[in-house]
Amino acid sequence: MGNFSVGFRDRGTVKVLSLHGELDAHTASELEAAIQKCKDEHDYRIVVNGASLQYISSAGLGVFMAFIEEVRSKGGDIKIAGLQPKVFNVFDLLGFPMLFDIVDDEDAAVALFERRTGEAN
Amino acid sequence: MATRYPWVTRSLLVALFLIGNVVGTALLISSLAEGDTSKGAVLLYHACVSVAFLALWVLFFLGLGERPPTPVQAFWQTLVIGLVCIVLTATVLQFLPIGLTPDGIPLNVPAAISAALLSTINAAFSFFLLLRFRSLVLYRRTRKSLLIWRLMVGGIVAAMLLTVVLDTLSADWGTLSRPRWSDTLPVVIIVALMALNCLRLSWVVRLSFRDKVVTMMLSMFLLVLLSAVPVVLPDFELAVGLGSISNESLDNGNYFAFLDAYSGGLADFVRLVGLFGILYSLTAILSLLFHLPTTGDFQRRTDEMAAMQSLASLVKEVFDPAKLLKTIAASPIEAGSASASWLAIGDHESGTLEPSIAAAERIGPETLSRIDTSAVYREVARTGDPFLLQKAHADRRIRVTSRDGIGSLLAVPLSARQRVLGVLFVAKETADGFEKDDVETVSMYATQAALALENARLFEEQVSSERQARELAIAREVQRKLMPQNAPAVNGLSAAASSISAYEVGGDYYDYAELPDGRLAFIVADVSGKGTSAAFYMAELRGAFNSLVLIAPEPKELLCHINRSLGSSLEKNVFITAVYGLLDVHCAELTLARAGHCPAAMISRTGRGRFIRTRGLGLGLDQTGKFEQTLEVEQMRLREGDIIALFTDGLAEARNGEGAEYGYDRFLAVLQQHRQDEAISIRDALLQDIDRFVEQGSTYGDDLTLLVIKWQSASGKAHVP
Repeated sequence: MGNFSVGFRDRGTVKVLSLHGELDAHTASELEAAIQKCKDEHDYRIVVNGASLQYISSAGLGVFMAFIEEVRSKGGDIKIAGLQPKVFNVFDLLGFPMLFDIVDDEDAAVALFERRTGEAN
Repeated sequence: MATRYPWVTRSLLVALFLIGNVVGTALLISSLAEGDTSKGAVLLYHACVSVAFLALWVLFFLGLGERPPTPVQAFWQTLVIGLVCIVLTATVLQFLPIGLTPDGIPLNVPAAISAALLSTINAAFSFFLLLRFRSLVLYRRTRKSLLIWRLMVGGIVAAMLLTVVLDTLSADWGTLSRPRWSDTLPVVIIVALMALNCLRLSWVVRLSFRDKVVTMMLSMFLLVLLSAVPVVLPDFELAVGLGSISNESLDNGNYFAFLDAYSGGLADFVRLVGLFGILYSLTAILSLLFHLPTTGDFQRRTDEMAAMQSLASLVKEVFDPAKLLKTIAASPIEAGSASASWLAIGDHESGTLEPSIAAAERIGPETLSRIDTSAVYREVARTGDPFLLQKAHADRRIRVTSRDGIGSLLAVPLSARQRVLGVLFVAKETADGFEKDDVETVSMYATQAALALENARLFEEQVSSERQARELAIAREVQRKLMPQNAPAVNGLSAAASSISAYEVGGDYYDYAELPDGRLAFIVADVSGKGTSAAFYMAELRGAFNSLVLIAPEPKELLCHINRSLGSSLEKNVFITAVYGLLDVHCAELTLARAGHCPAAMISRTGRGRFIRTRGLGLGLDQTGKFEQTLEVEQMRLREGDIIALFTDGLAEARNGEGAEYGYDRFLAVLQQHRQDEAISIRDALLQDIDRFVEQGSTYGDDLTLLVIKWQSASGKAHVP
């Protein structure tokens, strides 16, 4: 518990947040702060890389719900990538794949943004 | 006895005094008429007088000994009583002129009565003076001071008795004619004891300047009264018209002549007490005079001690933090160590260390915000040592101007348990106003004050945590009552459930509803998050379920309704997962739907197990219609011995000490193993197994709910009419 961290990376116009450790009620505020920071910097194209995420609780899932509406209203999105099977199962049980783009790896997630940009062009 | 029957005792003493005095006077008068000078009559006379005045003494002792007077009161009262006695003496002499033979025998009956009255007045005054001065001499009562006092009083009484005995032996009514024993050695000893008692003046230093001056004036008056009246009064007596009577003794200026005439012993007593009064007043005047200049210093020390004591008593003031802060700020001023003082408390919770002024005395908030002592505060908080600015104007760390009235400033830390809680600032109007002593004294206050503050904080924490515990206990009880108290009694099935919260209250929920048409609805749900906020949503969910299940019990309909009704009230980051079942007991048909919840388990009589994982979003995640579009429902026909187990993720995710999860497989295995049992036994077996897994005594990390339904037979059909 408590061993959770968020790493920031830029990939073009996309902000990549790499999650490490366990995301639960105690650590949810850190992810909240991270997404809030993206918002403050007007980065609304966000990829959450969950390859190193060991566990997620319902409070952790709630963080995505808290921001998604606003991020989408600004023309952005939160895409989720690289989840381990066990973690993906939690997202899946709740029906997250019906609400979010959840893809196998980060590149694919970034590509989703780029494709959309390309389409727009 | 004196305390139990005060009035009885005092009445007896008064009676004894009156009888002794009247009988004595009567004897004296009769001796005038008959010229009786027999030893028997004289002995009886002296015995009567002695008993009378002994009774008077005891009366005074009981009456005055109860509450010791302050030094000012002692002198003031003695002086007033003395003046009253003079007035009484003059009055008596006006109406009953005294006349004595050269031998000291009253000339006539009025003179004898006059002698008795005047003796009584003078003896009463002597008693009063002696008792009042006793309280001063014994202000600091030690074994030695008490001994010397008793020796002196004993000496006076011994001298008195000696005179009485001598008078009796020589068959004298009075003592005027006999050579005075008082010129002899015993008196020297008594005077020496008086001198020792006169040095007992420890009450002097404790008086304030004003009290010292007042007491000095009073004792001067008393000195005049005691020393001058015996000299002046005889002239006064003559002046008021007694000159017509030939009176050598009064002419000789012997004020005590009438006393001698009445009782030589009593006269000695009055004389010696008068002498003691003169000596003591004299030494008191001198001592007061010498102590006047040092009053300020002594006063300061005393005030400091008083302030220290008030701080020590602060420890008891922990129940009122606001008052405590105010008292801490006020103490240096009361102690005379400062002209202004204030208490700054750091904000440790926010971690900014920006001090706020918690209390201030003799300085306004505008001034405080202008001079800005936060730099000094940080300095003291960092070092933990007192910080002294002898010239506040010249220092750049604070912005003091000449109109602020701060010449020098001392800041001391309030530290408890190696932590600086705050800083006490004390200021003086003059530069270089603080001495080394001041720094020490104020630091000492600060230590006490910090302790009191820390105690207050701990006390408050304790109170609030107790209140929280109480409120949570109530909430827990309320929540317990929100869930079913009994399993439903439906033919053809047995059901059992249990819900355990990780905290006092939780976000898990389960319920049954027996519909009017005989169908049984059941739900298990989990609000995201834990604790109090989850509990509120759980209560809201219960309300929605109980009202909607009667209107729209079909799984899809019901969950869509709940999703809509909760959607508006749930926080964005909060959602609820649920699994809902509707069982038609007549045809053994079960319809299940899952809204983001962990799948229900199903075990057949043969032991074949599976999880029913239909599609479905969590409640409150979506209001755009996706919820309705994606929600799947599974319908199945139950066979005898089928078991359905609904649970929350707290069960599957329960972890043991090594961090391993309980898991779905183990859950299914236990179900299979106990599939022959009743629902309640299956539930208990599962809970026991989880307990074993997470290890005894440890708590669950999440709320955990389990609902087991076992279908026994479709015998319900038999009951349908």
